[in-house]
Amino acid sequence: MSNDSPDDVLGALLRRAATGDEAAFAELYDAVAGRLFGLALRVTANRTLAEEVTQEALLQVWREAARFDPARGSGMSWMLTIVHRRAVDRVRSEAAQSKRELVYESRSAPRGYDSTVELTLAREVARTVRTALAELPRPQREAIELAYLSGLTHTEVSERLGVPLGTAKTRIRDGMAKLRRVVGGGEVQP
Amino acid sequence: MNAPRASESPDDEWRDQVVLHSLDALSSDETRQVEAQLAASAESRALLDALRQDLVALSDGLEVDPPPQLRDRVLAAVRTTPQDSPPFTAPSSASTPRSGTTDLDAARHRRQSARGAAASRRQGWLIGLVAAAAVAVGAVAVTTQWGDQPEVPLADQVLEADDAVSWSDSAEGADYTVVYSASMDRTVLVVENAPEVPSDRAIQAWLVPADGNPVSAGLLPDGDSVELVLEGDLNRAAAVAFTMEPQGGSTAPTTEPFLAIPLEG
Repeated sequence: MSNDSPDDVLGALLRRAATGDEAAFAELYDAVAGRLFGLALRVTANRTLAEEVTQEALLQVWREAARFDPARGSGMSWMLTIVHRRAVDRVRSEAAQSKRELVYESRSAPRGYDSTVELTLAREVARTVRTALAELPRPQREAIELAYLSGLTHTEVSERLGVPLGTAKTRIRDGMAKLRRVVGGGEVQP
Repeated sequence: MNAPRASESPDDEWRDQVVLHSLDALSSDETRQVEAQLAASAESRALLDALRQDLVALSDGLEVDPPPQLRDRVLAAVRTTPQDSPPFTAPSSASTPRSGTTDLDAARHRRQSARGAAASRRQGWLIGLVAAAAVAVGAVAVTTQWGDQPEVPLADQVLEADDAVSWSDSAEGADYTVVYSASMDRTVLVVENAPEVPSDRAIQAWLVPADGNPVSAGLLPDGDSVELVLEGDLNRAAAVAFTMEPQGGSTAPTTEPFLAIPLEG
């Protein structure tokens, strides 16, 4: 997609990496590791898990680089999809689930957990809100944050917000439609 | 508060599922169902790709530098991690299936010439009754050629049936044609210029229902020009999809389809 010029660079690096070019992959790492790790950290709320997820995702990027198809989206979008899926899978696995619940509990009553992560998270949430999501009405913003950035299922989103499932889905759908207008990407109308 | 809903072809509920899938916000069962249906709809895959592109904005500003050791670990692991071979890419959403009698005629024709060559080598192979018929130039020969008994293989009967209908598409230079005869209630897959597959992998065909999980339709035999009698009931399928699987196949797809042929019309 041409609306994000650095993607051309990432796409080109991916294509070189697909041929086994380790130097290109190292360059790709330097360009995207912070972004992928940042998203993994936001979703898992756990530095160790986030490191594991980022490492696994990057190895998947290396293995499957030949599958990247620029006709379907940007290199960044492709890599974020991989890391997000892995992060969500990790937090939904049972062991991770309990840890994450702890982090959630501690947000309302902070004690005995990694306050650095928590601070980072708080800052990052604030930063996101100032960017694309800030344009969305609060109910839509909250629903999308919980789904995408906290890695909850739609059922969990409705529980967390205390609204019926249909309402949660509507907020997410309408929020994504609004986001489309804000970022001005894509040709397909939601 | 509702978004405009102009010009929709997937219905609202399906669209919502695709939106939730883009956020990875479906349960694992729902995810499997949606992925199976996505395999049959290029339009929905394009919607998913566009949604994922929009989501890039949500992590803009979340960057956190990972510890330097992560770089060392990843780059060290890369040196010993083999890459998937390039021919098996995910399908482009721009892929346009073709169907019609031309493909069926072409498939019949190619098959005839390949079969002539194989038969002339006089190598008979007995495979099972309803088994894979592999016609590979320079490799394996035809099914049920048992001595000189002129028995018409099932695949041939389907391909020659008067009511045979076909759907075709290609991926990475290989042509895949699904041929169905209602009178025989059998389906045959013909693959021309089949891709080379690593020895520990196999291409698996799947019948993808409109609602539910994909069901295995069989594994493609080796060879450049391949015929396979597909297992399962084509009438219940919305698409035939193909994935790379470990040798021996899988009970459910473990990779994204590199090709899905919608059974339209």
